[in-house]
Amino acid sequence: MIQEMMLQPTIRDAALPGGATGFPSPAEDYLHRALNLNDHLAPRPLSTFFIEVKGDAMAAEKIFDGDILVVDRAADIQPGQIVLAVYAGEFLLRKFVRLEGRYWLIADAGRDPVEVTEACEIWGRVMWSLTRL
Amino acid sequence: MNAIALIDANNFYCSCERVFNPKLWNRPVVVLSNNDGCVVSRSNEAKALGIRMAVPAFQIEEIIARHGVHVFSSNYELYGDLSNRMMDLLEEASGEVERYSIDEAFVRLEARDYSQLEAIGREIRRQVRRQLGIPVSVGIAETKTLAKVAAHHAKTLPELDGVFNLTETPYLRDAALRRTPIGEVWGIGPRGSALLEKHKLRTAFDLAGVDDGWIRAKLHVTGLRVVHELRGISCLALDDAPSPKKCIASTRSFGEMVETKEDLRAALGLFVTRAGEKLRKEGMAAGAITVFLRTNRFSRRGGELYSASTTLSVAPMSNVTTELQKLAFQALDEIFVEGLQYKKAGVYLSDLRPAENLSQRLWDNDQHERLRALMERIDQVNHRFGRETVQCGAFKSDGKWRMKLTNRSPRCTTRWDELLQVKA
Repeated sequence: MIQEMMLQPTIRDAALPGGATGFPSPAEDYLHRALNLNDHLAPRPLSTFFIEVKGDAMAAEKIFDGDILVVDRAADIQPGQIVLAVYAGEFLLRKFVRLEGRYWLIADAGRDPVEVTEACEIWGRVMWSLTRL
Repeated sequence: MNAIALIDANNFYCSCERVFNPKLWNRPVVVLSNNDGCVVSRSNEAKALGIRMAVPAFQIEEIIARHGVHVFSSNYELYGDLSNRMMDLLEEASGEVERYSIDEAFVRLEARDYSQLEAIGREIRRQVRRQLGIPVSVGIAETKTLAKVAAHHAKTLPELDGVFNLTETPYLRDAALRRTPIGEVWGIGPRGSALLEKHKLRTAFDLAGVDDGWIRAKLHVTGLRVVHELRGISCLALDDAPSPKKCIASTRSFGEMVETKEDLRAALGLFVTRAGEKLRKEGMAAGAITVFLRTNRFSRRGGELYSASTTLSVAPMSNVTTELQKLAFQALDEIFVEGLQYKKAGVYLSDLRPAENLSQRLWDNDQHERLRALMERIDQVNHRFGRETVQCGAFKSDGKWRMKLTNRSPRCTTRWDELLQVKA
């Protein structure tokens, strides 16, 4: 219950009743805030962090050296998604996959897959990778 | 039923360092104050090595080398940002939140019964851990003073797994109070506890059992209030805190929305004046100042919830209102956004240290001394003739003091050029 409360978006004003003040503007019904990239990339700002990528071992997933990752710690993880994990005291940027009933973290470029066990913690889900063109 | 929870982050500065550095997990970590290199935060592993709070780093050099203790300078920008995220998360869970210090908040909880209260406490703990990576302890009780006691036990007794609910369970409450030395009771203070110990009152349980008239004669109405709070009778509303040791806060929700920077400056100037008074009354000086602003959760127009805070080092440490105001205004410049309606703002002073044993200031000592003497006179005048008879004016900021930053971690949540880097 409380979890739902917490994960709800915080913008609820539209539903709030309240008397309007001042002159009504004919454009009022059509007013909207200008687009804000934060709303789009990080709808949950509290649990979202920006992290820089070093190296090209995830190039097959279109994540390149120097990219900025948008990582959400609170997002649910599904197989096939890219995650930031912690294993043996190091961050690992990997693809989370399911193979024969077991879960693995894999990268391309000849890195050993790591099985997801107690010894491995998912830090967050990579929601976006921002590449400068 | 209605209860108060204290949400208290465990070893907060060390925990912040750990979020972005897995090498520190399960390892001893300490964070030092920037001004004098004293320990201000210790991981549990560092505590187990016998490293005490406030000890200067040079005195523990041998332990640091022998056990590979990771040592950091304070990264107040990082701690301030994670603190602000934690407070916002709590505000989403409960409409009534009192930010008590950088790492503690009182929260009003409502639930059907005891077990639901406990479940909410656990969910808050789980969410803060999941969303921010910060471990917290949760103490739940009928009063703030009891919530403090509960949170302390939640933190120190592993079998409680971080949450201790004292509501409607007199036997638990009594057991917890018996384990709480009188000196650790919130709001009693060192002088009060010395006096009470002379009368053979050694634990919070002893204190809860004293006669009302007797405690009133000894420790006045504030002492009586503590006793009632320990019995489960709420005397301290949210936003109504006795003087803390770790942090001094001065915050307020505005009656009307505030929009201009000038008005916010005026409000913050006043908050700093208040906090500065408290600081000097306690004989302390501050090493860090945090300013926060937030808009209404339910503001009808503009739509956006904006909440921001920034923390600056006070270097050298100070308890002079004008010096603290200067920093508060500088912080305001950093976080103020034009065109929003602000509902709440505040100032915290943290990294508090007794003013008399500050390290020598390297320059402008004369000016500081003159200001300090002036502050004392202002406090005396205000004390005699009522609050705010004399106030310190606003200052124009002219350049920042830079502190020595030997081993500070990257400010990876507030600076684009200091982002955390991970290898693909």
